[in-house]
Amino acid sequence: MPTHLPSPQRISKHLLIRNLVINLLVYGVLVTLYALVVLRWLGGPLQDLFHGNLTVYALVGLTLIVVQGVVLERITSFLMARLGLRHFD
Amino acid sequence: MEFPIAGVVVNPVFLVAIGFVVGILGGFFGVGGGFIAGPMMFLAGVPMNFVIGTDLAHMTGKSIVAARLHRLLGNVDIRLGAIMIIGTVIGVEAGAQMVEVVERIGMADVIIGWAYVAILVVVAAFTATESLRAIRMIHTENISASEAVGFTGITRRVRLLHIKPMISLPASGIKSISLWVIITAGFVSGLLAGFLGVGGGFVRMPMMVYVLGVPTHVAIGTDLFEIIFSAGYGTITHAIKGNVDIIIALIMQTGAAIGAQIGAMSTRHFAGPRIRLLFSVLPFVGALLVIWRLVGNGASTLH
Repeated sequence: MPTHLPSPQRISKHLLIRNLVINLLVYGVLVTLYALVVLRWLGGPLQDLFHGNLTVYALVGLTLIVVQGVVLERITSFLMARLGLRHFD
Repeated sequence: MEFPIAGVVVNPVFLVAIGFVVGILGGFFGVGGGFIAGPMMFLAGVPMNFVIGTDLAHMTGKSIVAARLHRLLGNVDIRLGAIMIIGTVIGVEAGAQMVEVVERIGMADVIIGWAYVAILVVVAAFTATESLRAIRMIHTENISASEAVGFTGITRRVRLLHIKPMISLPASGIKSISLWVIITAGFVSGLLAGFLGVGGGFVRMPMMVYVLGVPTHVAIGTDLFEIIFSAGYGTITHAIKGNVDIIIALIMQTGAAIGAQIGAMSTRHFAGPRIRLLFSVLPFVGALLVIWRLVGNGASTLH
C-alpha cells in the first residue's frame, strides 16, 4: 500500500505559513495593546499641539513616526528571527 | 475610534489593514503605495486634505522598516540614493512650479490626471514587455536570472557619456558613471513626482534599472531609502499646513511595519525579471484608479 509522505519543500511551506500566522498573532496582540494604551494617551497632547503650534506638531509628528518605525522594525525583526522566518529559503 | 485632528471616526483595524497591504507592496516593489492607500483612506472617510499628508507620514515610517531590512540584505546603495536625492528635490520643486502654470490655465485636474494616466500606462507597458523578454532570455540564452534585462539600450548609451565627475557605485556593481546622469535621473523622477503629486517610486525604480543599470533588488532598496527623505520632507510641509493626522499615520504604520518586512523578505525568492513583471501590474492599477476618478469627476460635473 503506497504511503504519501510529505516532501521537505511541503514541510517548509507549512512551517512558513504556521510561523507567519504565529508572528501575525503575536504582533497583532502587541499592536492592539499599543493602540489602546499609547496612542489613546498621545491623542490629547497631539490634538492640543495641532491647534496650538503646527510647526512643533510637525516636528513631534515626524519624530514619533521615525521612532515608531525604528522600534517596530526591531520588534518585527526579533519576532521573525525568533520564529525562523528570516532564514526560510 | 475617533480621530479628532482629522475629525473622523474610522475603524482602526481597517487602517492597520490598509497599512499592511501597502507595506507588502512597498517592501516588495520599493514603492510608496500612495495610489492605493490614498483612495482607501478616502473611502474610510478621511478628508481629502488629510489623505495626502497622512499617507506621506505613514510612508516615511514604513520605508524606514523596509529600507533597513533591504540594507541588511545588501540591497541599498546609499551613495546612489544620496546623490539622487539632490536631483529629486530640485525636480519636485520644478514639478510644483509646473502645477502652478497648469493651474493658471485653469485645467489642472484634467491635464495632470491624463498625464498621470499616460505615464503610468507607458511605464507599465514598457516594464511588462521588457521583463517578459528577460524571462525568455533566461530560458533560451542561458543567462543568469539576476543579470537578465530585456532592454539595455539606454543603459549602454548612458555609460558612454563621460561628463566629469565620473564616480563608481560598488554596491550597484557600476564601475564608472557620470554624476550628472544620476542627478538628472533623480531630477526627472522628482519632476514627475512633483507635477503629478505622488511619491514617484513607480517611476524611480524602473529608471534606476533601465537608465542607470542598477540591479532590480538594489533599485528597490535604494528607492525605499530615498522615500524616507522625500516622504519625510513632504510630511513636515503638509503637517505645517495642518494636513496630517499623526495618530492615523501611526496606526497605519503598525500594519505597514509587518507588511514591509514580509514584502522585503519575499524579494529574496524572486529574480529581478519576475519582480519587474509583477511590478508592471501596479501602474496599470494606478492608471485605472485615476481614470475612474477622472470619469467620475466628469460625470459629477455634468450632473
